[in-house]
Amino acid sequence: MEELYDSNLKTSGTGAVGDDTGPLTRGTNPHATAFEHDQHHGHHGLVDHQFSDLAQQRESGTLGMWIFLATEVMFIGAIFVAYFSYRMRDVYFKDFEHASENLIMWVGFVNTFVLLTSSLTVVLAIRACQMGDKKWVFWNLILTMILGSAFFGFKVYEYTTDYKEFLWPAAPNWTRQLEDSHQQYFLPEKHFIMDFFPHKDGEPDVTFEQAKQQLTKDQMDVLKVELNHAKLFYRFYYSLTGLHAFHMLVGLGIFVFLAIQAYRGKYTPESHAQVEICGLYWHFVDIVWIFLFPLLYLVK
Amino acid sequence: MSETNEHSVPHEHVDPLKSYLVVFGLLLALLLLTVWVYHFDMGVLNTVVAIIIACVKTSLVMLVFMHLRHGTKLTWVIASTGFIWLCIMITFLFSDYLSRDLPDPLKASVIPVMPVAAETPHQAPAP
Repeated sequence: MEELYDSNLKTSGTGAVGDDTGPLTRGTNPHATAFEHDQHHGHHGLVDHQFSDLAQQRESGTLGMWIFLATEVMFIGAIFVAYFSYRMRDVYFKDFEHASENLIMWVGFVNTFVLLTSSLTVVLAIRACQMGDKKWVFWNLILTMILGSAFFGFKVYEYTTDYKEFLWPAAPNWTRQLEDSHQQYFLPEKHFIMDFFPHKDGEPDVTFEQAKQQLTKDQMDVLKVELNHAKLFYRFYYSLTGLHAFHMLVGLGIFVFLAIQAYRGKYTPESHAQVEICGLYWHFVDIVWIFLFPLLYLVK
Repeated sequence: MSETNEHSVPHEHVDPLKSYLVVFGLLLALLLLTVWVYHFDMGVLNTVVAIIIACVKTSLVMLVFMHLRHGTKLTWVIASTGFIWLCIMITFLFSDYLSRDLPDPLKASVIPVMPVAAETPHQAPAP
């Protein structure tokens, strides 16, 4: 095998065009043009000694990331399954639907758009690597980071609003505020309370304040149970989106590293496995969100 | 990889720019479709349709963006293992859950609801 690695080639590789007599060029085509020869030498330094050629090295790298992603599918998939084991039951579904109405749907929508676009910029970065267009490798990676940061900006806005509206899985004051008549914020239980009163054109006849005062003790008990179901929904909401946000954070860190490497012009058509592998990870995070958005924000 | 001639430079597939842009357009169209479908009340079908659309989007991302369509058979096997195990878990878990009438643990202590005085509750929340 002529692809055997020799560390000398790292330094002498590209320059040693005329040197086709030594052991380092064993197996090469004697009729090869100088250009091909040159390229061949250049490859030797890129292949680690445990691999026989570039293609095997590349495949091993992506395969390793696919194995990691398979474990991630099972990990996050299990939480989805747990969520569905509740959601499929009627007693929970109705309350999950109300709980979901409190989430900010447009933020979920915009974030889906942002993530899909960032997936596009990642493949464009990989394509720029393949084409040897170092400038666009860098700028596509920067674009990806900008989009990833935009996702986080929306996420922070969303979590902050959720916090102010008491959309917590363990908000202690939900039921207490039911009894205190005065509330400052839009309460998560509004939808649940209004369910007890007649609707006219989708709007309840009574004000929220009147409604709370008219509830009987029995209705209050039912309400408390429904709110517990809603809290369960928020538990899933925070576990799933939180995990996803953590993955995004890791991905952003990786892309900072990639962008620095790209700025130094490290990625060439022959050697850009890092971009390819980290791209796989980024796409996976995107896929998780593709499922999160309809299943958490669009419950009906 | 096995076909790679050891004397030639192994090249990756370079997809045309158009294929990426088309897939991106399809993904955005499917995103809009998800939101559009949400506004119809189809009962259980709403969830089913949402999941189907998400699966189509995932396939597009995996095949084109993640270059699975140029991947080796081994890559396909590894990429599908996670989903296969997930399917096994879903099948067994839900064949159990769906085939029996589960009590609601949170609702166990609830007593029947009385309607509000002079008001007809539009919905009687039965336990």
